[in-house]
Formats: sequence, structure tokens, C-alpha cells
Amino acid sequence: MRWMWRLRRLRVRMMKTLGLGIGWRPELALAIERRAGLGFVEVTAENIRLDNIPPALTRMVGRGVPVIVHGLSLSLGGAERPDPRRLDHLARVAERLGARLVSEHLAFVRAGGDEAGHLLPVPRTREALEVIVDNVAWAKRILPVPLALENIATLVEWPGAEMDEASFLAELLGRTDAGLLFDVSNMYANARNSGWDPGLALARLPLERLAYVHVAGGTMRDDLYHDTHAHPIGAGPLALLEDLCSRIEPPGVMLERDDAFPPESELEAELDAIELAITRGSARRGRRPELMVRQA
Amino acid sequence: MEKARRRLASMEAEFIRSLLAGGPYPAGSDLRGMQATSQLLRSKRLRHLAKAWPELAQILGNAFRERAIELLDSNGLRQPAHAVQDGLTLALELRAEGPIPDGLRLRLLTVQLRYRWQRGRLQPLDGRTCGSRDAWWSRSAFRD
Repeated sequence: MRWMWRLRRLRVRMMKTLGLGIGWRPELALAIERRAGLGFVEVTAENIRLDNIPPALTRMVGRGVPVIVHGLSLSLGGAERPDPRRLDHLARVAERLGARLVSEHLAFVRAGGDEAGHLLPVPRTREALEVIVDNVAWAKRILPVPLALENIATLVEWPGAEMDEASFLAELLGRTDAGLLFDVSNMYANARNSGWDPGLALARLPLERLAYVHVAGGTMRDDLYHDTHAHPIGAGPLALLEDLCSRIEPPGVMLERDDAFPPESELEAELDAIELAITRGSARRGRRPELMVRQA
Repeated sequence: MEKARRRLASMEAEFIRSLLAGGPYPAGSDLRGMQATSQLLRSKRLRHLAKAWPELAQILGNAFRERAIELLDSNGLRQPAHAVQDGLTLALELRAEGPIPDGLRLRLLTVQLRYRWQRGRLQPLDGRTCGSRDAWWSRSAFRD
């Protein structure tokens, strides 16, 4: 068994800085603590109370495991600047946990007094882009560490889009100097439900801005792919992760599991499947010297 | 910029309002996508209500889903609420209908001690804007 652990550590070291990570959830705390060679954890800011940080999380921080703080409710894609209280909470959690990075979504969650409790897509117009660029710049001024923005999964598209998803994200990141949190499963879901090629979208993303990567499981329901975070990762998202890793070496890749928490052995298998996709992608990159040159 | 913000505010308000109401949707909308998203928001709200208030599902048994849908349909998804607030409304309805088990009475008391009504919304007394106990804003609340 020892050689397997060595191989695992070697694979993890292949990624530049963060390595293989997981979204920290109380239900998974024990499994996460026991997982050897875990490179980082991502913590959801909205689920953290500064006066009551879970001891298991404090232990991870004490052991020097890098933390990324992930926000859900800033509504950076909204018409109003982000709520100062939410921004302040995000900043404080990042400071308390010694986070090196904060991430949020390219999405809006509230408008006109209504609260969706769900990440909704933004209209992809030049005018909306101006507003979102300003929102992101505003948030960055308050946050103590760099910000990365995540592409979301959506079942609906706005009419009258002036840009595709990848181009919109690329322009936003370029104008705000934010990092890219690329969610492989979200892009897979959107591509599958809308019938476009996620590989072509990958080619339009500014991968040089890649901060880290999310991978999660999903399921088909009523002819639509739902990114549930409650099912095992399917072949589609893993193939897209492999494709990504054949183009660039991601700084970190992590599993998101938020419901129907599996036994520890299944969680390990999920992480192993991610590692395998990374390894396969890296091997393909090795056979594509033009990409190696471009990265250098 | 202010003009752009106003226009975006109006577009997003109409978008979210129609999704929460389950239609009618803005002209030119992706109808199938809007309907699927409305359905997603509704089933999520039900799921998180059940998760935040296991006592209600236990007491009502098979009738829970029907009562919960009735509640959401009468109040509408537009009412700004999280799972704790949805459950409180349903629990108070049950209390008004007759005696309720001790477990639910205790839960009602706990919620009343931890939250207060503010601008028509149940807010945690400890100053949090949201939290895992509310379930509505929990990590999985954003997924389906």
C-alpha cells in the first residue's frame, strides 16, 4: 500500500501550489482530517460564525492546511454594489482562517427585494458587464486577499446575449484582474443542457488566470443535467477536467460534495478519480509540446 | 453607470420575480429554462424546509409535502423567507389547529428565542445575516 501513497503524493506535487483539495463541510470533517496529502480546503463563508469556528476546521488551519474562503451571497452580478455587511463577513472569515484567496460567483441572487437563494445567471450584455466590473472592483478594494470568480451552472439563459459565457467571463476577468475559479462541472452542465462544445469554450477562457478548479457530481432529471453536488462525479465532468489538464497545469483542483454525504471509502474514490483525470490530462499535455512552450 | 445599474436592476427584478412566481416570464424568455428553474427553486425550498424542520415532517408524515406546497403556494416563493421562517409559519398554523407534540413546542420556543421579526423577515438575534442553521443559505441550498 505504501507505494500507492507515494504515487498519490507525487501526483499531488505535480500541481503547482495547492494540489488536491475538498470543500470543508461539518459532515465530512472526519474524513477530511484523515485524508493524507490533502493540499487545501475551501470553506463557505456564510456557514462560518466568527465566534464559533468548528474545532475540526481550526485544527486543519493549525496544521497549516491552506484555506480558501468561498462566498455564495455577495451577488456580484447584481445591479447594486455588494452589501457591505456580507463583504465584511467574507473579509473577516478570510483573515481569521488565514486564507490566501477568496472566491465568489459570476451570478446574482437578489433583485427588487426578492431573494432567490440560488445562483442566477447575469445578462451577458456590454452594459451589464460595466456594472459587474464596477461591483467586482468595489469588492476587491475591501477584501484582504485576491479574489477569484466562478462560472455557474444554470438551466436558463437570458435572451439577447451579446457574448458567449466564456468570452464574457474572459472580459470580466481581464478588466478586473480577478482570478478564475473554473467549475468544470458547471461548464459541463451548461454545455450539455444547451448543446455546445465545452472544449471550444475552454479554448476561449483565460486559463492563465486559473486560480483553482471545482469538480462535483450531478444527475440527469427531465432531460436536463443537474449539478447536484450530491451524486458521484460522472464521466463527462471528469473528461472535461482531463481536457483542461491537457492544456494547463491547474494550481489546485477540489471536490465539492454538499449533500447525500457518502461513506469515507466513496469519498476517497471520488478524490482518486479526480487525481486520475489530472494525471491523464498531464500525460496528454506532455505529448503536446506547443502547449508546454506556451505555458513557459 | 447609474443608468446601466437602473436598467440592470429592472431586468433582474423582473427575471427573479417571474422565476419565484412560476411565471408569467419576460417576453422572449427561454421558456423551458425558466420553467425548469422555477421548479428547481420550489423543490429546493421544500427540501430545505424539511431539512430545517424535521419535526414537521415527522408529525405530518405523508401530509407534509401537501401542507408545505400549500404554504408556499399561498405565501408565494416571493415572500423573502428562509427555511426557518417557512417552518415557523407552518408550525404556528399547526398550533392554531390544535395541540402539538412537545418536540415541536420546544422547537418553536427555541426559534422564538433565537430570532426576531424585522421588516417582515425572521432575523437571527446574534446579528448573522445568514447561516447554516437557516438552511436556506447553506451551501447545498444553491445546488440541486
